[in-house]
Amino acid sequence: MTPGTPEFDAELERFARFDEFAADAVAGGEALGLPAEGVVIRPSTGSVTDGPFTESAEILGGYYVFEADDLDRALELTAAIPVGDDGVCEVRPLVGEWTPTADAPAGQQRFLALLHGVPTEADVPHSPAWDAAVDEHGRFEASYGRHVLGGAALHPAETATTVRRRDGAPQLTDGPFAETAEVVGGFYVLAARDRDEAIRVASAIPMGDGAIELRPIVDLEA
Amino acid sequence: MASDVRAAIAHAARHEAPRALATLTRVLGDVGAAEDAVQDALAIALRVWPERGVPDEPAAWLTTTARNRARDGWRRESRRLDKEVTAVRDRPPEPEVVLHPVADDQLRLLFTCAHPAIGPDAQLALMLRLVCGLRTDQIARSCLVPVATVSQRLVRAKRKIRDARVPFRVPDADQLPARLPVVLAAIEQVFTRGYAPVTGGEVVDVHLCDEGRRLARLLVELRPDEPEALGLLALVTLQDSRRATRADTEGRLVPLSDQDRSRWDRDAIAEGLTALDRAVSLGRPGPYQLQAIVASEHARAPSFAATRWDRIVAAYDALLAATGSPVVALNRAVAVSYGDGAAAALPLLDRLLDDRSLATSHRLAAARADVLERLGDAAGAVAAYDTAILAAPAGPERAHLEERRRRLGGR
Repeated sequence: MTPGTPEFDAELERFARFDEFAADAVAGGEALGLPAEGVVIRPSTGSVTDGPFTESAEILGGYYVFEADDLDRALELTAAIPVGDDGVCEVRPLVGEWTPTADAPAGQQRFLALLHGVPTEADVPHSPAWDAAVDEHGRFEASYGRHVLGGAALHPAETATTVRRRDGAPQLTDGPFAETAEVVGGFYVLAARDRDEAIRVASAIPMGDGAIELRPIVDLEA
Repeated sequence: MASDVRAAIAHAARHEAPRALATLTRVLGDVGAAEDAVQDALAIALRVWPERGVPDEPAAWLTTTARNRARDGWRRESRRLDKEVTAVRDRPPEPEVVLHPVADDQLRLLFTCAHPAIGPDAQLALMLRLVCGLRTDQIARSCLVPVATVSQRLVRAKRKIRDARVPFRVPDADQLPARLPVVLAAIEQVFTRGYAPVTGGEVVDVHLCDEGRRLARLLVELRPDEPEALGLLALVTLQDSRRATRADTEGRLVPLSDQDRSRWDRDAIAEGLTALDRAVSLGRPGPYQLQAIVASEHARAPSFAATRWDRIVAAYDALLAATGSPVVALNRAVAVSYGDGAAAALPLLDRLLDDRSLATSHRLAAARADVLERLGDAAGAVAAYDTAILAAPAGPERAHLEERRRRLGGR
């Protein structure tokens, strides 16, 4: 969907109405740029490939962070997101507290870095492998602090619930939106001068054999 | 151990423990922790009741013991369990603080186990474990999957409930219409597992049928003015009334047309019809009530020939309009074949051949085979039986189809 077109404006209007409906429950969220503008980085092999992460057919269009008392409330909000009849939303609990994402410094662009990897013990919150990974990510954030605006770890993919629309009614299924070998374990919101700098920063995220999907964030306020 | 104490503990595990679990989940706010605590309380009962005797109120004893276990920050170490056993054994008898169960706790547990965010296989395992009190190996045997698979399903489901914050709550009135069908379907699954096991030698697994009926009764007790809950109760009760006649002494399937109706359970039929009448009187029709109407026509008919097929077809018409389900269309066609004759039904069945969801099931082919056989088309019937036999899982249904095919003089 291209900015400046009537379709884009109509989409903005639908999401503005959703934001009003959800009100205080929305603690964060972004719209993402075109999939073709994305890049997939696999630090363990050094590969950098243009385009979105394509293990499954669906491509991420955006995300919200909700604060909700329980899953029912989170699902109620998710079902109201105007993704259209073909759209799919996956609801996953975050680990720990959520800090709202800081704004990008002047002259910088924002990027979403989605962390994809094969599920391991490091994905189980508070396991020894998890604690070690937290330390590694802490070192990354210390080194690249200027570029890290926010982020979160997610509970394992098994805790996900997927919401689709069928005949106008929300349809829930247990599990992530697709059964993929590599699942999303967390994400960062990064600030960088340009795409190349974003790739350089993202490549330093401790990933093991996993991959980082880097996608430009669309600044809707502009 | 004395056999009456052993029996009391077995009874407690199946009937009292789920109640204790429901209460404790409300108190602790964590169904996984509550379940672990109740399992520990049962283990302690196993050690203490033989010496001290069975308590007057086993449910209250379990709830209190479990609550104490949870409160004392226990871990699943057998050493700690032994200490707890000693403590309980040495404690002088005292009036125990009774945690009063709230009727809604059981309902909350039902809605938690049957939450749409939990997959159907996991919902069934949770229901069988948390509400029916079955052990893992019992669940595995009933669901025909390995014990490890059941364990994994339960662990994942409880983890999901905890980490994704699946609430322990009866849904609000505005959410209830969407959530109730999931609970009904989960209870129906428990019953269907017993009534028509997918494979395995037995045609009927009586324990699961009993559990399914018990849960349906419980739901009606907790939601007495819910027409679809009454409809489900009527349906499973009426179906179960035929339990004694569904298989012969050698475990072979006996179709409805050949069942000895004098051996149908009259009490179950009365219970089912009463529930159905109450449901219908509430004036809010629904799929379970319609299926129960079909079952009630069979229950009322003195013989297969005297069945009021027109009423059954009318119920299927309404069900088809409500659900659009190909399975319903299939069942309707079978009813038409008996009401209006096999010739009327054949085009209805042929129309269903293109349906993808029926393509892998043996039932469409079996229905066509039966109709073709009655029309005198032996060759067509044999071919259809072949298709059905290929698709049917091993078990009494397939054996029955093979027998029908043999009788036609096929190879």
